[in-house]
Amino acid sequence: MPVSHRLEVGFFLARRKVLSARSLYVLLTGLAALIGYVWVKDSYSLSFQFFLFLFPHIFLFISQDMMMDEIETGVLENIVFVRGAFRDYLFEKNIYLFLIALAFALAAFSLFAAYGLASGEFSARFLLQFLAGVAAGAYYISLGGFLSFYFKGGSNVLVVIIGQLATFIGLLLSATQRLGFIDQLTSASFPDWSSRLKLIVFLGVLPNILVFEKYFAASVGIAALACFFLVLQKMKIGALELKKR
Amino acid sequence: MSDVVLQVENLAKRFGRVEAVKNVSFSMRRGAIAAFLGENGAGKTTTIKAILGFLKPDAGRVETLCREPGYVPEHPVFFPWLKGREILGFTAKLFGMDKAYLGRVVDWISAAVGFDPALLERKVQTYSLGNQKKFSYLQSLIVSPDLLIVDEPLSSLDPVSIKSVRELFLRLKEEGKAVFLSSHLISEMEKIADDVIIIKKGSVLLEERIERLRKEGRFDLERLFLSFHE
Repeated sequence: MPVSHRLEVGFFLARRKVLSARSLYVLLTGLAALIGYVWVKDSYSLSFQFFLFLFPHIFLFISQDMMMDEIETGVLENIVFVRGAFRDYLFEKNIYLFLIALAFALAAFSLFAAYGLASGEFSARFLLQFLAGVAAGAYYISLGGFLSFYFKGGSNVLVVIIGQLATFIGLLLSATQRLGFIDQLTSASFPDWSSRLKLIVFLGVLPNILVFEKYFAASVGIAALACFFLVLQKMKIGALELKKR
Repeated sequence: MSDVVLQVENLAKRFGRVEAVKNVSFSMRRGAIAAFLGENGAGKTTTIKAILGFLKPDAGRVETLCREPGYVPEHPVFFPWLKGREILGFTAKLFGMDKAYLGRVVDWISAAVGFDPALLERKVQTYSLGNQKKFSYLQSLIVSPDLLIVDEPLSSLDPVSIKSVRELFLRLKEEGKAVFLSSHLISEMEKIADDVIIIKKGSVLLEERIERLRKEGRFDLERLFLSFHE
């Protein structure tokens, strides 16, 4: 089987699955409604910032049901996946889903950019923010894919969201302390190892903050974390067998 | 060109403490139908999955001396969001077949297995179990495999379809293909098989040509099978 055919077919399968998920349209509609509301009530600039902060979640959402559902339902026990081809397909889903999420994000970004260029409100910084958001999205795909070996259905996404909520609550609680973590985040100043460690955990749970200029440099760390989860995925997939259902 | 399309040597596979398959060895030749017989839990499906690369053997070697084998599982499952035509489309794409060829083979294979091509416009998940099985035959055969592996070939099929599928196996054999049928329906296998492989508790007890068994006056497959299970 030529690799180009394999990639084309794998992309087709991933795309059809993503587009058949009704919940995706609910998410995109909700996101569009929220951003549209901010635009109407406030400004183009603020709604663009909202978009840049939130769009990495499209990547996270698209990673739902990434691995275990297909492994357990038996759909991989098919002639197109013989001789271990199912392993290539599962690992390459990282690329397919990244590209699909990127297409959605790019479409929305293009609309914002077009309006901004026409009205003269567009800044080159927005492009850098978008690229940082894409790095966060890539991390979400690799993390979501890894978690989906352990959490079926959309619960891999739910685990991340719960982690984010818990982090958010922790952040609010830290606001009561003098020079709490929330202050350090705002000033991007992390004087000791404890606060730096907290930052790494925070980035791991909510990488969306990369889109803020102060955290652009952390994109490198997030890319490294994404690679780490890809390596873990590769190990899981390498040892994977399609056992009796 | 070698006559052998599949060679299995000393295959072994454990699931925890359970030794599902141990020291399984046999070969499969072109232009022949092999019946792989065994009780429930004898290790038939584990052997098939190891041959196809869905399971990693703990020991032993599997060599398929042909292009990708065709495979029809006992209970085929398909991507629920895809229509039959889409599944055939990407299968054909993967194996480098053009659309005109695909159209021709779909017509003749559908007729051969008694599958209504109009169903291709529907999602495979909505088919009856029998039609899902027929569709699995269709998907496997459009790529014209040299070796077709079928797990419980007649399960979910009605008597008319059973006759059609039986004739299909004979036709494939005439075309020089190898057909490997894993089943416990001895009477059906007796009608079409050229070779028999009997597996019990993960070990191959007999690998023989039916022609030879006939010459030796041992060709009552059911009696032969039961003799290993008394």
